[in-house]
Amino acid sequence: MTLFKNIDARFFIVFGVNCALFFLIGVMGDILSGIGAYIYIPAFLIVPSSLFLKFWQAVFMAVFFGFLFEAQTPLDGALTPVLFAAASFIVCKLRAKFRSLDSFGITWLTWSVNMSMYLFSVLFIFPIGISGAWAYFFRVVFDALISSLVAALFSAYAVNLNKAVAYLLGVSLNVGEDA
Amino acid sequence: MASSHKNTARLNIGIFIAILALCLVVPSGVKNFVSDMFGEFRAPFDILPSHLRDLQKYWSLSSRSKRDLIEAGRDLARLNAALELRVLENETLRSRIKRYEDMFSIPPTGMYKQHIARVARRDLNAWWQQLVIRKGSIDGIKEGSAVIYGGGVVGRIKEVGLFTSVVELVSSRNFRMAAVFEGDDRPVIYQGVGQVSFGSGCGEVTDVYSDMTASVSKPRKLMTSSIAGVFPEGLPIGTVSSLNLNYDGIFKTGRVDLSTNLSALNEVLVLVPIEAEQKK
Repeated sequence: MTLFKNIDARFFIVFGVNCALFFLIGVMGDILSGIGAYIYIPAFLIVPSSLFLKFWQAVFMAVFFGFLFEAQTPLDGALTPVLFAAASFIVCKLRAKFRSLDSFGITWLTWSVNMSMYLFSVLFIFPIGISGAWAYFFRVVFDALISSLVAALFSAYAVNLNKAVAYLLGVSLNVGEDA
Repeated sequence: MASSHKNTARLNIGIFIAILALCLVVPSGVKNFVSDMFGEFRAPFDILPSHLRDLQKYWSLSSRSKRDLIEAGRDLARLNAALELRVLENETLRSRIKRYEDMFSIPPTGMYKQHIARVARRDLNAWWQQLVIRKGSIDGIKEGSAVIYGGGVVGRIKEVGLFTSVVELVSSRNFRMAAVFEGDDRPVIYQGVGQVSFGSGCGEVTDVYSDMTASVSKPRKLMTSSIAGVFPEGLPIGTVSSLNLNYDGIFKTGRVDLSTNLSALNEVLVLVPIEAEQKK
């Protein structure tokens, strides 16, 4: 007889990996401060949890890291967790198409989720503070390019990292059923 | 079977929309509490890499030869001697100011408690300009306190957590203070303008009298004013290389170039005002 019969180890594994990725994103942001760039890659935290976990676990993870993201920025209003939850919801609905976890498909999914979230944030969440329309456009494009590059290069790795860590711990991680 | 899947999906969507609506309409007090709670949860993510960087620097320095250390010690001893002389001069000047204040019944200028803090994380981009330092309310840091470094003004404490605090940089768009030009008593307004990608942060000075001039060959230094509030008087903010007349023809406006060291700070000094009651 066990004390905790129905604990889902996958949740804790993905949570641990997400915390490590969150830490790395913070370090990367600190390094890029030297050139005034803002790296925006929350999809690295949302896509793996939405692919592998149950629906409510994935949404909880998204809301939790949404609040963490918002805590490190001068943004208010709980819009960031809402955005993260909505992204998680959409990925959960689409995950059956990515059951094979091919690199191109994962890269495409992560990149498109990330860029959609970035554009939504730019339009509705981030402070505007326009010093000129051209400066604003350059700011948005520059940060989008940096974030796109990182998302395209490392998204498949971020997803497979969860699988690898779970495998090492003896847990099988597969794309879940639709909610 | 298909209908039960549909019902489950509808129920999930309904609950999801309800939670989204709750997130949007929940009172701001609850949001602030949740935000503070998550801020404290994420504080170790900032503090840990800062400690690791310090440890890395310690090990790289300890691998230096004794000769290097002796030379560095000798240079520091010379610097210390010069600074000790300055401290003695400062004491003389302070006692003179105190005599004048008593003589003319002038209220004393602000006194500060100084806290040295390591920078844990830099968040400098075109959207916002802030630093996270490794001191919080548990160390006596207060919201609104001035933050300075060897080269002048860094910013103001915006948020205080238990172990970390957020500093709004002088280049932030929300940063505004009274300032004066070096050698001139007339107050002007300094406002941060932000940072452009691939560029450095800068500010803007407004309400400058039309007789003031500045050029690239003869830039003017902008300093903190005695009416700057939490900042001591006479600290450098930046330099102004050009001033342009406004449409009203009375005042001028100019761009303030800030030090590039602001984006590479490792340590800052927080000045917490000592309350008048404590002075008595």
